Parts: sequence; structure tokens; C-alpha cells
Amino acid sequence: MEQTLNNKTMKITVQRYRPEQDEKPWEQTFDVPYHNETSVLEALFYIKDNFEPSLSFRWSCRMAVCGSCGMMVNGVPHLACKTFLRDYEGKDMKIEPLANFPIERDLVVDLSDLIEKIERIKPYIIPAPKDKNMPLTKSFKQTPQQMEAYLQFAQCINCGCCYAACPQYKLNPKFIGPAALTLLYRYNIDNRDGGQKLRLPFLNAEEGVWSCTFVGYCSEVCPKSVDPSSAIQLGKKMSATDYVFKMIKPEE
Amino acid sequence: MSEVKSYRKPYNPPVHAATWWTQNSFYKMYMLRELTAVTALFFVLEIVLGLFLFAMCKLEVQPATAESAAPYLWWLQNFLGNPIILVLNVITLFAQLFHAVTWFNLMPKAVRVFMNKNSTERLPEYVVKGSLYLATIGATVVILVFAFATI
Repeated sequence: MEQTLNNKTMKITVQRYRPEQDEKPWEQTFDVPYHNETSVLEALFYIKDNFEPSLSFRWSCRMAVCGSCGMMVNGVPHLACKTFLRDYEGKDMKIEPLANFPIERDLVVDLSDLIEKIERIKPYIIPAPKDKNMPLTKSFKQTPQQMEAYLQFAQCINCGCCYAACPQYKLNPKFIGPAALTLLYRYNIDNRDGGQKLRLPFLNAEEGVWSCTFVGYCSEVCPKSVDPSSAIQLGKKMSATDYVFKMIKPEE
Repeated sequence: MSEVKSYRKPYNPPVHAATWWTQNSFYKMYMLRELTAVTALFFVLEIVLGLFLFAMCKLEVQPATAESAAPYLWWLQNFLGNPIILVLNVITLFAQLFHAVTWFNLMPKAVRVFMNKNSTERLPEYVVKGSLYLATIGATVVILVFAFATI
């Protein structure tokens, strides 16, 4: 079926920043034609192809799998590929780089802090001592319930939207943040994992779950419905339980 | 040998530590919920004042007279009866109800219980919220019964 453009256009303001010549970001407005299926990412392609070839932004999969195109649309963190112009009908649109991260160029931000934090919490299965020498031909067993316990939290694509939504991260960049804490919880409740003790210090730390004040905006903006604020509250429970157990039975 | 010049100059947007919450309505709702703590503090101070004035009464006088219980009666009639305090107490009541409702709405996020050992079905949200409302109503009834039974 052929798409009709209907001659509809939207005023889209994009925040620009060119480090080699700009002192600080500035705004540029374009009139972008669109139809019912035009996503914000496609609108950016249109701008790059027709108006401003120097516009920089990250993208890859165009279908909410890779997590590259996180950006602020009218002040709210969104995946550009999963946000459609039809939902902003009759309004102007303003596209800015993800909040709370240093801006490299135009809509490209430096996510290295997020990546470092995700790496820090060891987001991979660490076999328990009893499974250390398990032959590679044998697989871990898992019941549907054991899988259900973490599956939702495993849907994270590291897009950084939750960090852009988190006021605690804005005010205290040391805070490990929603995505990393969610992954921490996700691996700690995985029945195949034996690395809880290695991760608990990050969970229990001041910049761990206890820096979260349950604003809940991370869950609101998450494009994959991961619900990080839920994982963090459950993480608080895990941290408190660990604290009590350590009081009763101190180790070493 | 060729030289590569880096133009990297990451821009860090300024952080508005005092006004960040004005950015959207979600943050404003959050701040409103946090602000109900101020009304809770007011109520606690009010009760502490009452207890303090009660302790100042001459408790050894039996039965109590208007003179021996004067500080407590002042708290009861002049302090609590003051229209400004009355209005503040009504505001406190509504602020605490608002806090309770919004808090109960968040609670299912912190509860992840499965229906039974083999099920992948989770305890429904209405059970979590409902039990919190029942507990609140139950506690309120018990307190009111005790309060009116002593009159």
C-alpha cells in the first residue's frame, strides 16, 4: 500500500552542538513532512538528507532492540525509533540529547559512565563453586517460575533513558542508577548464578539502592517496560535482608 | 607521520539543583508527595507539645481540677481550638491521605510474590493495594474505638 504524505508537516526543533566551533548548544528548527508511520528517527533522517547533512545522532536497528537512539522528545526520554510524530499531532516537537549525560555532538551523548556502572556490577552469570567444573555439554536447569522472576528485568537494552529520567542521578552522578541496579538484581535472583556475594557490596553501598528515593520516573519512561524502580525497591529488600543476616551470622 | 587533531569538547549542561522538579508534572507530583512530610512533622510537634503540657499538669491531684490540669486544657481548648491550627490540621489530614493513596499505588512495585510454588502467575496488584487499604481502615477503626471508649 502506498503511503500518503497528506502534506502534513511538523515544526521540529533540534538541539545542535558542534564542539569544534560552538561554545554551547543552540537550536535549529525544520519543517518536516510526515505521515502516520513517521518515527522521530525517520524525521531526523529527513532532516539529515534534505536540510542539514552535518546533523549527528546515533541509531542502528530502527526497531527498539539496540538502544542507540535514546533522546529527549519534548523533554521526555524516548527511543527515537519507537516514538511517532502522529502522537504529537498539532504540537511542535523539540529534540534534545539525553539529559544527565555530557553532550559530545548534536544528539550524541557520552554514555561511558552508564557503561562503566553496568560493567561494575558484573552483569553476567557467575557459576557457584559447586558448578565451577560443570561440563560444557551440561546445561543449567531452570523452572518457568525461576525464569519469570528475572525475565522482565533482563529486557534492558542500555539505552540510558532511565538515567535521563532520574533526578537522583542528575544531582549525584555517583549513584549507580536504575539500569545497572536492575541488572544487578536480575543476576542476583537468577537461580543459575552464584555471584551474589560479589555484587551485594554495590547494592548495599550508599550510591547503590539507598540513593534511590522512588521517584519512579525511570519506570514511566522505560521503552522496554523493564520497570527499574520495581527492581530497585526489591533490591532494597535484598539489601536489608543481607544486613540482618550479616548481623546474625557475620562472615570471616 | 600524520597528526590527528581531536575536537572533543563534551558539554555538560548546568544542573539546576533547586528547580529540577519544575520540569514536568511527574516530578511535581513526586515533590508534592515528599512535601507531605512537612505536614507530618507539624502533626508530630503538635502531639509532642500536647504530651509535654500534659506532663506539666499536677498529676498527683485526684480528682483533677481545672487548675491542676490547666496546661493540658490550654492545649486542648486554646491551641487545638485555634482556627489557624484547625485549618492546618485539616490540611495535614488531606496531605496524609494523599500520601497514603499515592504510596499504596506504588507498593505493588515492591512486592513480587508468585501465586504458588509452580506458577508463573504473580499476586495481583489489587491484593497488595487492597490489603494495605484494609490495614489502614482497620487501624483507624481500632484507634477511634480506643479514643471514644475512654471518654
